[in-house]
Amino acid sequence: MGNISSKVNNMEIVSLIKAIPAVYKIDNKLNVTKWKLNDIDRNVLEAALLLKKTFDGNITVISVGPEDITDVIREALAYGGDMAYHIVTNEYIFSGTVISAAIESILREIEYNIILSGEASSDLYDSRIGALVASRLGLPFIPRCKVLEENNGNIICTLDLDKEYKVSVEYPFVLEITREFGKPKIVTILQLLRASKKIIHQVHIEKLIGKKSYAAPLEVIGLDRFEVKRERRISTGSIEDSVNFILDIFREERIL
Amino acid sequence: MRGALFIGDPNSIDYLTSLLDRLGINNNVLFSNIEMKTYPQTIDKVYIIPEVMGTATLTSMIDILRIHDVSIIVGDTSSWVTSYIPYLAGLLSGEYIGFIDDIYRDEQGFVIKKTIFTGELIVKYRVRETPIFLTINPSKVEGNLNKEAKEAIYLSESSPFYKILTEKEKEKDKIDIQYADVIVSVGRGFKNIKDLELAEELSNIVGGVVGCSRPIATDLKWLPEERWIGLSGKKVEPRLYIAIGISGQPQHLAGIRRAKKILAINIDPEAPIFQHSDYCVVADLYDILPLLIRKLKEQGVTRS
Repeated sequence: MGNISSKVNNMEIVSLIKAIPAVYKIDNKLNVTKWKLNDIDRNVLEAALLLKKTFDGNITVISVGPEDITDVIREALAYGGDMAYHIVTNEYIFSGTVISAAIESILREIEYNIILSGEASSDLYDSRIGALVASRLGLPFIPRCKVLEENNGNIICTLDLDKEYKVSVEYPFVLEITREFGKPKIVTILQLLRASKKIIHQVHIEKLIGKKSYAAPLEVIGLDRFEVKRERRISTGSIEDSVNFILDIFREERIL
Repeated sequence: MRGALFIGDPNSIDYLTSLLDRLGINNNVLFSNIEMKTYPQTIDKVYIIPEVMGTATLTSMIDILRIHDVSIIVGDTSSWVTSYIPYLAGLLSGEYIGFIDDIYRDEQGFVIKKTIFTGELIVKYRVRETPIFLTINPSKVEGNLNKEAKEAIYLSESSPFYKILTEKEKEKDKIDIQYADVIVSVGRGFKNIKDLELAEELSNIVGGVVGCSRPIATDLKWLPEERWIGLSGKKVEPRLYIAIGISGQPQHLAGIRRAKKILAINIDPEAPIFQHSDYCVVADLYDILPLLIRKLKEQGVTRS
């Protein structure tokens, strides 16, 4: 439930973060053996920290994925998250409809002023969750924010669209953060240790949206490696040799 | 079956129209923020929507999609379209898939192909329910579509999602890197903006265009964003891609996987780009480029 206002003193911040496959195999379906935090979501957590420092408040992390993404959620908490909701799935989910429906059902039960999401995840790269969640909750969606500033209690966002805009928005809203939003800090071991004591609420996705909805409207009917065989001819000789190597390639490829 | 086009870049209209035509879908609805003089004949209704939308515009768009019984909504990959099209999908509880490679129909319905996992995998989706919302990077269209003037209907917004305080134009680029035959691409290995002249000179000699990795366009702003190649930039398919001083982050590799041949020049022998290249030159670009340009000129190769 979002609080409608132009200013807040104690901000409830929600960070939507994604665990993406780091190590996986495919045999008809995707089997993930190791997960990592989606790169751009580090910027989401940086933005959340900046808001927390500016306005005071709490950061709630929400993530969707199988049981074994807990380490990724702990890493997000180490960045400065106060508590987390882990929406547990039986497998990797391809459907944005399913993921956003599950996140919506958590957000309908908690307080928030601002919901942050990353511009995209490098696994599926649909660039969608922030907008999908905003529309399900009937909230304004503010795309592609690269700078956040405070002005007299209000947030001013710089948006990187076809033009560069500085905009103001009334709470609550969903804000999409781009890769250009500062350089994320490195999490220390001490922060990771502290994060191990923070609360992660786990709830199975079927409890939130039902078993039928969990059966995605999107069916994966093929999953294959995209392989391009590259020659990997290497030149490590003198500068002269390397330049001649390139000239030969230009001739071979009929560039000259 | 009817479709809708969602256009932020007027250059994408022919490709998206042809795509729907190939799927046997016409009498389409078009949403855009820019009014054009003429439209393809298969477009039935034209709606001009405000640049900053809010609930009123988006609800009107949903009503229009419902009235026309639209099953498939396809948009280009402009930042304006990709910002709003998932919102529309959410309002209609439709599935949204962004940045697809292709869509076709078989006896059971639509099949969508998409490169995922930074270009490592290809997934094929069957969509069990419509409407579906898609974005696709436009390609070249062979031939010309029949076009005619059409009356546009303007939608207005009483309560936009945000209030614009200031706006700044971005530098626009006329070079279309997407269809280039040879691309000379620059990365963080270049120390100064002035040094890009080396890449420009090589590019002129070999008849190519200069592209770049994300930081060169977005962080350093040495080149316009239209030159940025990668997962969220342009995806290119040149005959030869020359990556100079580019380490080869997965996001960049995702934009060049369909290049016919890749030549990489990098000082770091461990740079990931070498694992994905046909020709690998382990050397300092500041040693290689001046000599290469000089030798090409000595051989009388020059197009500039």
